[in-house]
Amino acid sequence: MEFERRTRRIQELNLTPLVDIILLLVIFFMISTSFVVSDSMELSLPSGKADGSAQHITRILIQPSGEVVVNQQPMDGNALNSHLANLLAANAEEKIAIFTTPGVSVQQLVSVMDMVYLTGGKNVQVDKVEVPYGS
Amino acid sequence: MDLDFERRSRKPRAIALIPLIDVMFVILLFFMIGGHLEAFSPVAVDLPIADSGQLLDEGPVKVTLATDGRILVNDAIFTTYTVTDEIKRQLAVNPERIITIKADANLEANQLVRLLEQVRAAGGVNLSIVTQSGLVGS
Repeated sequence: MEFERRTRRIQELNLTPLVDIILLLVIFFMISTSFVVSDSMELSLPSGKADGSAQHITRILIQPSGEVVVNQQPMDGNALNSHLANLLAANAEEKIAIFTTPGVSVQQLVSVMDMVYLTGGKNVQVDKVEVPYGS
Repeated sequence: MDLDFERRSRKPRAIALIPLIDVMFVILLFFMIGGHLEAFSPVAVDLPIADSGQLLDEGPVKVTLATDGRILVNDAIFTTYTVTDEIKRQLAVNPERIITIKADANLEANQLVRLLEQVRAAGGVNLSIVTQSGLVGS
């Protein structure tokens, strides 16, 4: 009889510790998760010394204004895109060297590299200008 | 009326916690599934945006170039003069090790190129630059 009576009376479950733990988990995940997807771009280094095939390199000089000079011929972003497309259609293995000048940001450099990769370029090198260039 | 109100306030009802738990579970699931955990970085780096970036494995050598010009190799701070030796030490295990470079988008590109020259001097061959996809925005 005693046992029967006890089971009939259901105690309410204490939910407060559960809420505490869930709240902590929510805070943990809110702080430590990031929604930025980071990708990577491959990059090759200049070989240091100019080799025999140096004349076949397309040189892209980036200027702080965002304009680029390709083989001493100034052009804007759209012109560069079509120029690269023509160039790489003729020779997909075309070597492309990107030169930066003082005042150019990493974003500008990466944007130009991005354009080269998107048009199908593979041999990309990055270097900075040692002497006044294109004058 | 007055008496009725008094009686109600004297007997506090238990707050219903079930809807609260339901909502918190949904928020928890959103953060667990929607985001991804990232290792804590001692310096904040605003990654450059690019569309051609691919999901590549992060190499064992992680070089960070912060906005103030500080250079970090695997979370330890180095100067322009000591970073070559450190990378050389890291590459002693295997010269083909992938070097992942995280450079801030607002930095001078020449600073990045200077770092690249030092990596080359240290004998690094496999390099990748970390970017973020443009879909997310800045």
